[in-house]
Amino acid sequence: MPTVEFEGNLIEAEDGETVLSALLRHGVDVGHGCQAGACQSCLLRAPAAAPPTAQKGLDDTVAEAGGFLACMAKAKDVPSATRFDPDYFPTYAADLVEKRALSATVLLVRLAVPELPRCPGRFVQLTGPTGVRRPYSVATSALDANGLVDFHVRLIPGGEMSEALLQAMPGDKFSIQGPYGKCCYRPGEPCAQILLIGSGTGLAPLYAVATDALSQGHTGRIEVFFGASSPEGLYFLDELRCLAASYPNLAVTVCVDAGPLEGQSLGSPLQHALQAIPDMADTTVYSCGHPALVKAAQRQCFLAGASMKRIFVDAFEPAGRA
Amino acid sequence: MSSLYEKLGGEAAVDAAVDNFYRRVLKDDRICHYFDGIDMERQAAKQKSFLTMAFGGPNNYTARDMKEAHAHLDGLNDTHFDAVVENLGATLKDMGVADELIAEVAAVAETTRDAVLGRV
Repeated sequence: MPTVEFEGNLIEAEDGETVLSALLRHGVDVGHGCQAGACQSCLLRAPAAAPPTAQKGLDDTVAEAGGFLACMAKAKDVPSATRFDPDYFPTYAADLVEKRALSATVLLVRLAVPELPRCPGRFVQLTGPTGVRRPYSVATSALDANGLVDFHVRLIPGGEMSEALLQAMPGDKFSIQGPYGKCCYRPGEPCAQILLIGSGTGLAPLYAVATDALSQGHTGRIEVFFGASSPEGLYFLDELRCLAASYPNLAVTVCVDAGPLEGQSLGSPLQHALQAIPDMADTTVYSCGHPALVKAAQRQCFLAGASMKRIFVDAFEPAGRA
Repeated sequence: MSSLYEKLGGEAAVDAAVDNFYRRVLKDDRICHYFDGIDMERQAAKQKSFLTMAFGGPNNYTARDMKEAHAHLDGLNDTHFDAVVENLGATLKDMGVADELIAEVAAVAETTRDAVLGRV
């Protein structure tokens, strides 16, 4: 009879029984719902290899970390399992290489993280020399070239990470856990239209997705809609202009809520995106930045025809609320 | 004899229906307020579970699960249930499913009415 080691206990299963069924039969309290691989309530983690048939529909991040659905896995294929705890993600040593101001409120932070897997657009938990820990999205696409990772850090007066970074010197030791999230370019549909909608430092992952798509030979349209409440909140505009000038399939619309300067549009980036692309049935959508914008973009782009499976979002929730 | 689930096209049919159904629900003024401010991806997974069940596919939902899952929805009544079944029918029609199969799906969904509305 197959056995599953679960949190130190050896659970005996019947032949052909699923991991979930065996655990429940032995009185182990694990979450569950449909028991048919759809609702994802019974997510567990296999420290060794998880059976791929039990990983269907899971986020890449979760699957890579060994996540699997207990209701879809036969006990004989899972010698040991644990609950799924996000802390299982690996941690990498990172050295500060460079920091420079991108605007009055945004700092570019460049770290050398030779071990980190290539993950443009996804986010990591960054821990600074003082122990402060915050999530940031990877802004670089050419990670594999030299192990350097860029982050765009919004400087918040009195903010713990902001203060730590202002004090930090090249060579200081950081650490990075992750990567997490789904905001990354997916090769396989090089002609599909990509829509990128963001505000503030949500631009960082969107820039990474755009440049990664281009470096992988994406030929479909790439439409960037980037906004801020006022022109002072914008940054990285030269880099965006440069990208648009180099790649005819990429266009950038810069939006502000008030007082647009030349070349800037009045209104939210989402509003302009919906006007420009009323039918999103064949569009892959990414949205990052202010939570209200990102949540609205997810809903409105879905209603405009984008498939839920092709909408990738990261809401930048302010720190200290948890 | 193939089952209802097989006749509809199995999991591929569910996958094809999820976006259409969820979009209809979000656009339906009678019920869309129940979906405000929730995690859309998680909700899409739940919609998939529901459609799999209604299509006669593999699931192990009990009446108690149904009751508990909907217990927090204030004022949920037959009108809302009817709206969901109506949207389900419209989705199937969009997919070109024959009327008699749509009726079968509606009948499966109907078996959950009392549990969803907390009457069991």
